[in-house]
Amino acid sequence: MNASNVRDNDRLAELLADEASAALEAGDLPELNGLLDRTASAHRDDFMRAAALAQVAFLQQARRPASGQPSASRMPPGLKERIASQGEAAVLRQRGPSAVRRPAPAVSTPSPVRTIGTATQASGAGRPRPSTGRNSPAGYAGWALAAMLAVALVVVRNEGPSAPGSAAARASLVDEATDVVTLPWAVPTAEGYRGVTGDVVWSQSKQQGYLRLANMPVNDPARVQYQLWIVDPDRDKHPVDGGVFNVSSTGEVIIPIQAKLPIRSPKAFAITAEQPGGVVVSAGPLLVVAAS
Amino acid sequence: MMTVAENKPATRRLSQGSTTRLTTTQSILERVAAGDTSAVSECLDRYGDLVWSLARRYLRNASDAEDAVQDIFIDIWGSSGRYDRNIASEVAFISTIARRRLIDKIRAAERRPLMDSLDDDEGAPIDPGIPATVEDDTEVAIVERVLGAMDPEHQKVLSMSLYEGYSHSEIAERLSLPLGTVKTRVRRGLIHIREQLNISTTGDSAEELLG
Repeated sequence: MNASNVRDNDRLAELLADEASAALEAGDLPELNGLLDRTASAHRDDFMRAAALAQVAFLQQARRPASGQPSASRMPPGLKERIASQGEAAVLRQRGPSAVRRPAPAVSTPSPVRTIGTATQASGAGRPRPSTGRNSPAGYAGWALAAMLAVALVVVRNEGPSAPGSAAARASLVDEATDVVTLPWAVPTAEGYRGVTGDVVWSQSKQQGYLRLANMPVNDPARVQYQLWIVDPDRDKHPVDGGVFNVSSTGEVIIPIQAKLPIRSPKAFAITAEQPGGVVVSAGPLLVVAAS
Repeated sequence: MMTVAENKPATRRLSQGSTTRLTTTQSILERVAAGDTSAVSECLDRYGDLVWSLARRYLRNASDAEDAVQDIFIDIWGSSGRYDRNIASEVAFISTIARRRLIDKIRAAERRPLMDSLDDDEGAPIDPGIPATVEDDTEVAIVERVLGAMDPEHQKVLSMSLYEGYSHSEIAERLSLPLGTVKTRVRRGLIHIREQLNISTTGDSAEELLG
């Protein structure tokens, strides 16, 4: 191993340790991603595992009566029941088409966790199939995203209304950033969305991007809002929430992407229609998809 | 001689030199991955309190903690196909997912984890004991041993960072240490724990580590 490799590995260890201790600076993320790409590290989770086990070990110490520290609490029974219902439905969906299909479980008690989707949506009947086939990038990404949505998305709620001046901001980003990627929307298959055109621009270095949409059906914000999802497998198998937004005109609209989490290597962007305010768990269907 | 029981994959891993002690019984996560819905409730019974306790260390608001715990378990079940008992115990697999997800939550909310006691636990039932699930986990035992052998000052920095949820700058201020010293101690501590866990994966030194 040469000196450069040693330096890379040492620096990678530092950054992964920072990540595992919740101390990674946003500015260090591009360097971490670059080192991970260069070193092809197979030990991405090692530091997080070490930190997690240390956390559990400290928890153990604190819970021993001799520690004199307060005990930890038990999981609320109502929460356990709700999660069990959702988990059983997710496991059934993971089993695929041969599994016994049944409606998504209803939340029996009031919960701060919002779960949307009718039984039809949850079972996948309303989910669009990629018209271009799974071998095409857009088709594959759409299919993959659909599969992930079927398991249940775990995301962070985000408020991202369309902002005045977005067109100028988009043009500025395209002009100034050297790493802007432009992805056109694949031809939508969802009923009512087949005429949607436009693209997504994204700058990895600036962590900024914009949606451009034409012929997107106008939504009633009191009843439904659009929500953007960013597929970033390098970061997580769960798509990242890119914000909720409204469309008030079928003309061209520019929507700023507002990802709350740092994006590493976006592979696809997809839009769903959700209840006002967006959701943390979505059953789809995917309305519009752009993929690299 | 260690006893191999269901849902103690770490024990299996550490015993890999003696394959006759292995059992083919599926673990909870392997059953989830196979589509066994009954394993979902078992998973919650076995690991629910652990994940809840970890979430409550990081999220003061009980509603936020409930959101997080739900997200974590959905993630665990969705990732169950990647679980490999030869690489990690179920406790390690689950707590790693929980930690990564909680850090994401903190970043998204741009706030720091809970930094005081859980006295404001809003009447939730108290668990007076230590779940056997965690108590019997060999990897946790290894890490406890590693932490116990550390210089107390280094252990304190790690505890404040990983368990109590202080930022590096907050630790530096409270312990009157240079920020660089705190960063170095956390990094070296994690590197050391990682090394010891990886050594145990080979099966050569784990028994020695455990004494």
